[in-house]
Amino acid sequence: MFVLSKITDLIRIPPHSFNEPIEVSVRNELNKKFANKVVNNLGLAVTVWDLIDIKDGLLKPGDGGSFVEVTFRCVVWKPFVGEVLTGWVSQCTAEGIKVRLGFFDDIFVPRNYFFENCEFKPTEKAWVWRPDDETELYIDVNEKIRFRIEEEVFVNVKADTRENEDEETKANRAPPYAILASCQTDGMGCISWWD
Amino acid sequence: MQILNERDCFLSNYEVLKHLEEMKLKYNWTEDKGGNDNRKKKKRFTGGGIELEVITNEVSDYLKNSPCSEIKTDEDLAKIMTFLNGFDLVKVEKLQIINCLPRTMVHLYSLIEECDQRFDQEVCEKILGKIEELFPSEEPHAEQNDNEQEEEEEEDQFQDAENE
Repeated sequence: MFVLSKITDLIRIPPHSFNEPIEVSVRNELNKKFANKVVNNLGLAVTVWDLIDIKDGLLKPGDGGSFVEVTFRCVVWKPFVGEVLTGWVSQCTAEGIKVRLGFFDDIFVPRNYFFENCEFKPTEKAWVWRPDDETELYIDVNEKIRFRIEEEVFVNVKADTRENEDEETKANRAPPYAILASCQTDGMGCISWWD
Repeated sequence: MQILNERDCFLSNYEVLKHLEEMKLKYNWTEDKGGNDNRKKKKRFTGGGIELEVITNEVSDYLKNSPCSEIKTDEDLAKIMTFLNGFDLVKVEKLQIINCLPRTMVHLYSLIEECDQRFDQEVCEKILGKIEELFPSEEPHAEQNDNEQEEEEEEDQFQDAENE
């Protein structure tokens, strides 16, 4: 779910945008800084909603830009614990399944957060749920599923200074914002099961 | 950077989608549908950085594919909201109902906490009935018509923006 967060920040307005109205250049600079970024302990910032207050600009010796303190409201994607969302399965492993939303992909449903009588079939790379002895319901990749948010995990990621890093370690590094979800109650799991 | 208020207020998916669509029109990010030469004259705006464009497109794609895109106007939103206000629901529950527009009993039950103890079957059916009444689930054929209408509307909007 999306929320509005009130944030204050000091931003630099570059000299080449002094000809624009201050609201326009402030909005652009804020969007450059925040759009599509995870703010630690807050969530995924999407875009500026509105500007509340713009203080007078300050100058720094040796810098042509002006530094402005701005108070603004930002659209932030931050699901709360217990919220029910829909997404698509992007990966099935023995540990659990990964779900993507399109704009946010670090959602994980670990194996102990599944229904009872769920098991992973390595041959088919899919999770199977057996609500009773005869039925087998499959969770496959790209299936649309419904899940409940259980926990959010923030990791403080440092700025990347290592240049010669191979792709693998890059991919394995913990994401700055990850979400743990569950499929345990009625209505969760593949949407097609419940229609 | 300092966070003054983490949750100043909640936004429904409908509001977010509306805000993003307005932004796309304003910054001229809507895709060319061909045959509209006016659009090409206006330059794509890039001052907000590429990340802004990426997240705007991704979020609005997701929202367009979710049920909340069935709410077309502010009046519709107000109607369903005033209807939901008549029940003893918590704010986030109403918000979730508006975002998800549940069609089945099991979906509604998953959105409302302890639904079976707080509400009886009748109330739940009433809520589902109202959703169905305001936003009838579309037949595949009807959906097509809707898409065409949407496109027309979008073009109108664009022309309005141009005239300004």
